[in-house]
Amino acid sequence: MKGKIKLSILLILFYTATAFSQKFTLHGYVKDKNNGEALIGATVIVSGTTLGTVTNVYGFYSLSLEKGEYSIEYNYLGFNKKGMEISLNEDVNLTIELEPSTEKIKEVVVRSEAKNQNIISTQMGVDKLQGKTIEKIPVLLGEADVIKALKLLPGVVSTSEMSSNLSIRGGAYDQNMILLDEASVYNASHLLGLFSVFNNDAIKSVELYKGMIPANYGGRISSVMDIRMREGNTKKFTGVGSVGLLTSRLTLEAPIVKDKGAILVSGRRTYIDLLTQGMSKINSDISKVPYYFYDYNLKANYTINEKHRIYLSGYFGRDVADMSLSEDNLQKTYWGNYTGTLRWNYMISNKLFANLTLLASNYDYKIESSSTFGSTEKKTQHFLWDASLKDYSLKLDFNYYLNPRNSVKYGLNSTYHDFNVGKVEGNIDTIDFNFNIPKYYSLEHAGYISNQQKLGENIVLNYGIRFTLFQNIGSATAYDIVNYEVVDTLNYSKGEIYNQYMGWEPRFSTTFIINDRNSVKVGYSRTIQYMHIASNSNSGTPLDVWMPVTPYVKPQDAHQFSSGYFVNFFNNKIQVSVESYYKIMNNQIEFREFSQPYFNPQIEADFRFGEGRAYGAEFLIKKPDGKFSGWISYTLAKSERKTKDIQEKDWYPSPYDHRHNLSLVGMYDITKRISVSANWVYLSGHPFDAPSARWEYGNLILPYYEGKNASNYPDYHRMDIGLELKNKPNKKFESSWTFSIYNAYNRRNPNMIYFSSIENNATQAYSFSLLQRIYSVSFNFNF
Amino acid sequence: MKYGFLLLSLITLACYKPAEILFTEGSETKYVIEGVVTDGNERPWISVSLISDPNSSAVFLPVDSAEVYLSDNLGNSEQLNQIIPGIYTANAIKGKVGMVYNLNVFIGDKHFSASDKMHPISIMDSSYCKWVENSDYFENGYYISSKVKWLNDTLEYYRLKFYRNDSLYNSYLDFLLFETTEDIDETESLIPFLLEKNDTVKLRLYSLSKEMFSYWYAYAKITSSTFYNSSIPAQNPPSNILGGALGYFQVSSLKKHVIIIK
Repeated sequence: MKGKIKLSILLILFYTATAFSQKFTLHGYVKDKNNGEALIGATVIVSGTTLGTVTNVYGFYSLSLEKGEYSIEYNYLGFNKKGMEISLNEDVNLTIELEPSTEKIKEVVVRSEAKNQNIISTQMGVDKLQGKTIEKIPVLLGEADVIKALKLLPGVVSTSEMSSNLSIRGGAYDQNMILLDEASVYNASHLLGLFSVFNNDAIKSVELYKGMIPANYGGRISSVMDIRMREGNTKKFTGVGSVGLLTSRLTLEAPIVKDKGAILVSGRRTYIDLLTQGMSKINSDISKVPYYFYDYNLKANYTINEKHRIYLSGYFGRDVADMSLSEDNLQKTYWGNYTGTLRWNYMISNKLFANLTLLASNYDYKIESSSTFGSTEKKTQHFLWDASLKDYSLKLDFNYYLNPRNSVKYGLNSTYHDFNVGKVEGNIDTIDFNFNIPKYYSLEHAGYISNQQKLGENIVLNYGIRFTLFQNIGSATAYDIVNYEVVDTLNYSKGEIYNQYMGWEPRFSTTFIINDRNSVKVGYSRTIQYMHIASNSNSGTPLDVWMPVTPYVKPQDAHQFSSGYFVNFFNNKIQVSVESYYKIMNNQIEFREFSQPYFNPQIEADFRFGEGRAYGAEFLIKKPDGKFSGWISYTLAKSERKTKDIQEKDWYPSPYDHRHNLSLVGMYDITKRISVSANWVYLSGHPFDAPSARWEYGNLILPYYEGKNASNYPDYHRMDIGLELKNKPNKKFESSWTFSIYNAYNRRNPNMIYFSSIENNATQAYSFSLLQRIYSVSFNFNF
Repeated sequence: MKYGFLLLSLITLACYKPAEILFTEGSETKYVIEGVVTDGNERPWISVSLISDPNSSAVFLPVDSAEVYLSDNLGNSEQLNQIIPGIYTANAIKGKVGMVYNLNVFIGDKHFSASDKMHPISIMDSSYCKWVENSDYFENGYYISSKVKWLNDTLEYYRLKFYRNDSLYNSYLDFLLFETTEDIDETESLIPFLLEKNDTVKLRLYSLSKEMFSYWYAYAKITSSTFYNSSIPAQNPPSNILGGALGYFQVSSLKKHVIIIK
């Protein structure tokens, strides 16, 4: 064994030594010729070899080669391949613009950069989407939605039909990190989850890491969803928009200075409140729907010179439920996120690319009411409940292109978290009241280094390590809890570090390339999570609040082992993969019986801690391009828990346990202007507590429950159908109509099940189904 | 639920229907034991029954073969008599404040036991009838007002039963459970049940142990759950009976008030 380790070290040294013999560097950016957008993950390959690299998230690449003549291929799916003859006698800075394919290759949700990138990449358990392509899938109420598209991929299930919260590979919905231009989004739902907060017109790409999470990401144990906004068109003024039944949206983009910078502004709003308000004035039988949401995206970028570039992006979204009867009778609930990202790209050298990022994010909700009362003398009452989570981060990331065989990433970051778990204040006439749960403050630091290394022609390694340090800081109130009882209350002054956790998170994966059509991959990762949602809901609500770990609540961590076999057929036209995973999760949180999570400053005493395990196999067959494209995704999985003082002897199903998850997605271009699409999903019902018997007390019949999560909802299945009709385009304006039917065969999938006594005292289960067959139409345009 | 109306606004899309849900398969026979010992005039009683199939129409399945024993911490013990199927009462043992009572129930080879202490009723309360008129919160009419002096040095738990003309008024939606509160010395509260002239109101205040308070709190949460409360707890109340039975063994000091509305 020792000898083998020595051999491995020698091999690494050999390849590293080889690297130092390189002389010159070819570097630059790969962009879309039409709009100047950076192309993420484009391949840059020396023709006839396996030497090459891929562009980073800013479109930057660097390839160090010995002095000589080279034929370089630049490749990106949906774009015409470009070949360049390079005479490398000195460092060459070459920015390439690729032209979208004139064949209008049908891009589908799961893209690959090179046709066999799925074979040669070290990545496992990762799904990638492009904003342009999500709209191909049949949509609900005219809104293409990234989260709904993700639900069609293996290992991904929604916590409920209405929800934008996801369970990834059997994990809880608060175990997913959602990043919008690197800023955390803590609640991705509009309209209680019917839509996600992401406006598809402003989205450039999405990467969902559900297995081997790269070392530059951290903070959650199940997945990372990295969403990048579009940068804006640096060539010309353009716009894209849509008018639908429920929402309309418009995105405008224009160069600030041609080929140097651009700005993008995007907005979206529902207007059923305005429509029903107008209709109710005409017909009083029609009541106003007192709800709307809106969101805005902004992004600007500017290239200062070939070494420096800055980006500014932001998101602001709000849901508003306004049931106010008058100015004197206010009933308002609103919730939403904002994020802000300021980035500075600095190409320190031809091989070293740095990015400094300042981030801010916020999620908050408020419930507010005020009114007057009193029959003789008018009195006022006011109630305000608010909660929030604010983050401020500083990140420094480096990409070091050591040589064609080694690509190193390293960096540091720190985040300040400000948790306002809940605050209530108000008055009834002259009596003031307030109830504030002490706030939590914390710092989260991380440092990481990783390397993607090619060993010979057939083996690619990706290894890295992440170190995290989490600190609870004052001012704060902490509780000493013994046997679930608070025995002491401890107060800490402002800025005092009163508790900290730290941990190492190794990540490793390797790809063994059997040939250009077959590869085998294995991987392992450890992830640690220092915050969680304090809610006993399994699907999530707008009132979810996040809490940090404390001296009593220990961090969650997960070990995930995964393996996969990838094979392509028919010249990469059909791609097949089988991936398996086994995930062990520690310090999983359940709630004690009859816990009250809201306005409970000592909620920690209600937590029960246990372990979880999830394992499964994911199958994916896809045809990524052609007139007909689509995929079949199937997941066979199991997710279980064992929790002290809840059910500690036997494993019980976790709320996110779905045995079977099948998706069929198909898209067909009938002509250049007419295309149809359909998808069908089947999902085993999730576990819940159904009574096994009943008992009587005081003329009331009560249910008796035996075992946790021992029953299952009925299986879920649904078909959606879409039709796109493109109008005849002219040079300046293109438009299309999108028709869709959600739940085409009107399956009544239950959103809620409850039990009630019927005539003969027997118990009857009832289901409540929200989303039945829904037709929608939208008019889309771009110019 | 503050945002429940959002669901309502989607109601045009929604439907209810009976669901073919399989009930969880029960693995064993489960017993329900309910017992009350007070320092009032009533004899201690214990009810022993079985849970029933969810689809059956039976509501109470008495167990008439149980051996039920009650004892106190002074060494007094007696086997309870079955007066009707499933209901057992004591003759000798009486409830007394400060005593600990033990219940043992044997059914075949199964043994269930429980223990609870009788806590005193320390809060001094006086209750009287009050005519309320032109209130911003209540309809005009008769109500019962209770004055309570709270003890700030100990945490105590109570349940109030409110009988109007011999019918339990707060049957399941409001158990009137409360615990002593810090920082407040004395309160006067109007019990929000509208009464009429000639009504006879009986108030029965029970002291509770913390375990029994938790039991009734959980019970109230189950029975008051409604459709719009999506946090319906699919759980059994936390019984203080050892051995795996449902139910409770409550030992309470009892204070009664009778008020006739005139």
